[in-house]
Amino acid sequence: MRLKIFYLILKKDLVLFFRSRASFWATTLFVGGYLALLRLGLPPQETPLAVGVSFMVATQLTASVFLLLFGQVWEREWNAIAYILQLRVSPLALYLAKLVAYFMALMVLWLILHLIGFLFFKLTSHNLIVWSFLGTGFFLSMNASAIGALASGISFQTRYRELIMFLIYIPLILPVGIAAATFYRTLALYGKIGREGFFLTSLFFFFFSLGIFFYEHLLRD
Amino acid sequence: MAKKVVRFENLGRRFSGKFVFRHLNGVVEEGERIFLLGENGQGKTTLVQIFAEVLRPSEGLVHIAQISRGFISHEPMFYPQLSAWENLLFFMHLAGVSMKQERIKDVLFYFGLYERRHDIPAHFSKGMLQRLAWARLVLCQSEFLLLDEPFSSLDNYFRPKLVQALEQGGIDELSWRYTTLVLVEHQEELVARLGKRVWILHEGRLSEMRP
Repeated sequence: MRLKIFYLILKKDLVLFFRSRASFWATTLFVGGYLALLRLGLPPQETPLAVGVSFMVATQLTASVFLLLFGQVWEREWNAIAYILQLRVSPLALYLAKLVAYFMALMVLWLILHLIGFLFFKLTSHNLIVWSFLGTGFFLSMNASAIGALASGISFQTRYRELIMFLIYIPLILPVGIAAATFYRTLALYGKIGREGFFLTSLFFFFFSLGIFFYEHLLRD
Repeated sequence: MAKKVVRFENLGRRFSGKFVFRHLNGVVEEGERIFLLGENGQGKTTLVQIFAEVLRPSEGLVHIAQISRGFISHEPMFYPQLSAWENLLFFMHLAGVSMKQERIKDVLFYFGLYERRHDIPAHFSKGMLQRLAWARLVLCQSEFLLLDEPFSSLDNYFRPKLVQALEQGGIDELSWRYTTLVLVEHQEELVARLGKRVWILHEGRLSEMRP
């Protein structure tokens, strides 16, 4: 039963992500345009790896902030979540579905942004897409989803929820961004998995556990 | 002895440090119809939201039986970007109800929404949204109804029709029956028709009177 509920909520969230022009596609257009414009500020020769990586990570982080905001807006807009709660839906299923939906939306966005990135930045390594997948695509999206679902839960019942959500989300996601960029660079330059891989995995499990234990408490006022 | 659907003891709820009500005690038994009256701002909606488990009490205890519950409130509680059909199916499946498409269509016909089933609720009028909320109650096979001004936006065709449905305990042609009702309404002429018990919430205290 919980699995069915998880699937229903996940499907609904994904439909909303990709159907709402104001969420997914506006975010893609904005951060994609931002990425393309940044290229104009760089010299015409090949982009140093660190610069390319930083831009890709920063763009992905910016995108995650937008997606998080939109994801919360449609729950609160007509308070549909109140009906879900009164149906006694398992908060665990709700939290997991939110987390997986954010993760999948971020991964699709990551793919589109990297295509734009590779088009506009002359990167040095043909293997970058593999490193990029591990660094920004997987670890960053995974952590952004866990922290994002938790931050949106914490801010859910507050009056200035959009502001509170960012105030919680941004300081928590910044170390993730730095670790993901370092991980990405170390892997691309030396072919090694640095300590950042362990840090990012531990961080994910930490926020994931917090979400599992506290999500129900956060949703009801 | 009738099953207790809701039981609350010393119930209190405060907002921004100020109590809306305190020390409320009461029981709602299966099969009862409770008409909740009170002036604006007395906490009727808050009390119903606590029964719906959307709000937590600030103090006291509340026990709610595990029966299928339906809720109509001032807010539509739909996803404005999903079509009416998708919304209904989503909530119905979450409630664990599966139904043949023909029966869902019958419900939409009954509430005059069949032709607009693929439209998004963002394009609906308030009256249509309220009918959609009623359709959800029926499709989710709700037995315990928490209705907060459920007729406020309905026209002269649907209002008497749905008042009658509540009076008769359900809608037979849609094979839907409810057992227990808590209704918030300002129109006191409905008390005699719908309320078996009348609760009045005034200055943070709950009292009961005969209809």
